[in-house]
Amino acid sequence: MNSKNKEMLRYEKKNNPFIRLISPSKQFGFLVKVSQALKAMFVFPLSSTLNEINLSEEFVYTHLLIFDSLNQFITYNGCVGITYQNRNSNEQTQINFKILTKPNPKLSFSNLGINLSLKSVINSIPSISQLEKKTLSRSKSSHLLLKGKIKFKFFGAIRFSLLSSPLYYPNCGWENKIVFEPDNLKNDHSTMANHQKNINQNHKERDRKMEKQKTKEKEKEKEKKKEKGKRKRKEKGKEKHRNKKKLDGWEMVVMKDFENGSVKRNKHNLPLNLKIENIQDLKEFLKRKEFSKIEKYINNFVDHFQNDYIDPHSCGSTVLEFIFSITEWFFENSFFKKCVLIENAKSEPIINNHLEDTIIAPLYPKIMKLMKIKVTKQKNVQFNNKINFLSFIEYSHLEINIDKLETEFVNQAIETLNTLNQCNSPHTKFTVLSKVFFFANKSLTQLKLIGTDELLSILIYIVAHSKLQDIKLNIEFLLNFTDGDYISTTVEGYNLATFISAVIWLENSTAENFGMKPELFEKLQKNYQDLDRKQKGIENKDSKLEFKNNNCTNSKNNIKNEIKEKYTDINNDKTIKDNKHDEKHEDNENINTQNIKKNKVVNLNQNSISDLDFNLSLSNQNHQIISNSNDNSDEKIQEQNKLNPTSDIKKLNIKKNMNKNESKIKTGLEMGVKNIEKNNQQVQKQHFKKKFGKFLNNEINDLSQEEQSELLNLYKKLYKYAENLSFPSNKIL
Amino acid sequence: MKKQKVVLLGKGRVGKTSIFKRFLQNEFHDNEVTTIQPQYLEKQVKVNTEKVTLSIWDTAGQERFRGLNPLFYRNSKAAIMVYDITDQESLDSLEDWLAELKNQVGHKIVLMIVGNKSDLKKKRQVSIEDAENLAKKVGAQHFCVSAKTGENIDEMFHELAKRVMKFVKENKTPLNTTKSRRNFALVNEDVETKKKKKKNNDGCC
Repeated sequence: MNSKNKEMLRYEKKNNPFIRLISPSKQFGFLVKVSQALKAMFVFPLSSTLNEINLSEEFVYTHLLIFDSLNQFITYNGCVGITYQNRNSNEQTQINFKILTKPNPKLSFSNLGINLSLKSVINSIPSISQLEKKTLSRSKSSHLLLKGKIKFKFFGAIRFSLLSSPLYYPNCGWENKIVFEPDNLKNDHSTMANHQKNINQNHKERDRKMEKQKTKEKEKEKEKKKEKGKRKRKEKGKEKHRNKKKLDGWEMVVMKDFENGSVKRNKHNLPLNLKIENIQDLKEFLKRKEFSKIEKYINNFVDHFQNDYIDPHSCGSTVLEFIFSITEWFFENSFFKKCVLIENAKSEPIINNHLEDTIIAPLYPKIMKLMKIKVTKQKNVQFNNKINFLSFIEYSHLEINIDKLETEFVNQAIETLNTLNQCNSPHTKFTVLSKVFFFANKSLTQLKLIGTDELLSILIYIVAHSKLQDIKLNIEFLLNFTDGDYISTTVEGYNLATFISAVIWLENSTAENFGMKPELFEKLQKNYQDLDRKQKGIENKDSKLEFKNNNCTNSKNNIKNEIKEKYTDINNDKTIKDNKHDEKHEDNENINTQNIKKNKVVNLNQNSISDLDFNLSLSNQNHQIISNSNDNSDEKIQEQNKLNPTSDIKKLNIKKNMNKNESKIKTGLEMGVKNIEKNNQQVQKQHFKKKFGKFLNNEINDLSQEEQSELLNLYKKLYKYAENLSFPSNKIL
Repeated sequence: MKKQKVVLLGKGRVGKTSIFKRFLQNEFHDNEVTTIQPQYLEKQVKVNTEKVTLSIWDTAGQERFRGLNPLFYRNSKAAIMVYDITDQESLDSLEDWLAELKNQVGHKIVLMIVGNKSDLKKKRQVSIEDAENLAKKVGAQHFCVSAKTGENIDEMFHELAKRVMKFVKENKTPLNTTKSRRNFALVNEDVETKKKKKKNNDGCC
């Protein structure tokens, strides 16, 4: 392609909002030249692309509009029409046709003289009226009727919906250089011949002058070229690189394909190799007009909605209708369909993402504020607390066989569920849910039949162990913004229904579900909520200070007792139910309790011993291990101990007869101390030694079995914390 | 014709999922299976010249999961009530399921009462008469099937599709109304209150 053509194409692509696909075909270049020369407009049917158009006589007769003035035009088949702007949108133009004269049968490319070889002339472009007088002479064209021999298929312009507006190329050197020049109309009519003679004479003179000038210029140029030959070669190489960079993306691909003739087409006459990699490519492909229309539409709606609707509760249905209308409208858009139907996997996610990010996602939060929400704040908070509280649920509570379960997938499902709050639109939320179900089903693949019973129970476990907040609001959101039929007849709907039932099960879960006393269950729940509030800093600052200064003595001790009871109950249940899997259950329980504790811990700083003590104190809550904060120690340690209730370890009635496991634990603690020693943090080391050294040095006197088991659990939990503190706990255990 | 929702109901371990799976495995009149999840299935069934797409929902049958969520029943056009022919309780429990279905759906739907495990004839506890009586009483059709051997499974679903088509044609309701889109009560009755109600009902002999 010539550099001019390239420039022209680039300019066209940038500035023509109507153009959809630019191809470097000769036809297109020719059309552009003709339309430019004639100040004309080509009209194409919506379904067609420029590549499909065959430049036949009929096409020119019907689709080439020559503009007389800004609004008025004529076609070569004699139709006269007026264009006018659509009032609703500035970008739409409508055209009315009136057939005033019948077509000129012998008016063709050949007799118009606008074949592929267009001559460039210095004179400015003649106006349409001049052209008419010279060539077409609308008033005098009646004589052509008599000589009409050719039958035309199209007497009027075809119905159209896409316009290619005439463009001029100010920086491309095309402006004012091409002139419509009819050559072969001499034989048709005497008037035409006279006009043509005059024109020819003028042109010949101009041509001669031009040729003289050109020869002179050429000679000069040749000399210059010889001198700058090497430089130019280098520059050309650079230009090629630049052009390649500029023409990256779909345009380049399409152009290459068209040049090679290797373009394959699908049903919609779109090239299969079309690559849409950015949203800008997409916009160009989809026609910018459409995109701007959507965005305008949405912005208008949001403004209107915010200003006019005073009572937000009254407009729930309109909001829904609006959102449905947007999505439906967009999905019914023919361009969108075309784009999606291209067998290019990249285009669809780009469209979806763009829709999600720019159009749909920002809408929902705005509109959600205005809608009725059935879930109150209190209920939401209560449910959040309950779910946090219920994170101790184990597989055994839900009658799931651990042997036939792949826990890796369960963990993956939990992780994906935790991302639900990051999604802003129902579509993305549904995709997250479907991923969760996928993992849940995968975790159960060892079962022969995976029914809803199994799925539901594993889902309950997943929801309980996820740290997902505002689950109820999420469900409300999904129910509000999805079609009822969609929910009832799709997999996504099924997933939502089972998810909701899992949530309801958790909400309604009672002590019976876990083999606990109902009174204890309620107490535990309340106390947990209180504790949670305190640690989240919901309480007043004063109470915070008290909480710290009093070393959490009164209230916490009560909670410790109760939670301790809870865990002993659970342990007892476990021993009765699952003798086979005792060790596994214990580990799981420890993990669960660890999770609970992790949630409670505020600002865990792994390296600071004060935080370590604070964490340990929280872990001790479950086991009534209270340490004295008034130990004899350095000043620094005393300051730290103000926040540390762990030094109350003395109060434990530690007894004799250590088990084998206990000896392991002891060594583990020692290892932990050694690790700290390695860090050269002497203060921390001393502090840690003082607290745990005493504990380790004391002989365990007359320990009952229950107390031993408690102690064992405690140690295990301490190791879990040791994990967080980069202790090699795995090696120890 | 649009997709029609069908719900599989019944006591736990009666074989709902296995019926579901059998129907999925069978190549039933060369129909296409459009969407598959172990608990959800969309399948197109040809009835004479017309086609119906059934979206079949497997539900939880265990007692602890019963009545959790009305979304399972919502907009369903048909329900397949499954019982185990070797378990009398499973047939008795169908009445509870029916009551719940009526509460949730609130209008007529196509009902099928299906006795599973027909291959275990020696262990049969439920007489065919009892099952058929219940079917007559409720206005349902009775089928004996075996998910293990595949006996009568295709026939049952074919008959279901027929009845669903007829039902939909008779009760043409405007779809996509704004009312149907929202205003769904999320929280169902508490489990405890339901249990209390049950106890009160079951209290007398």
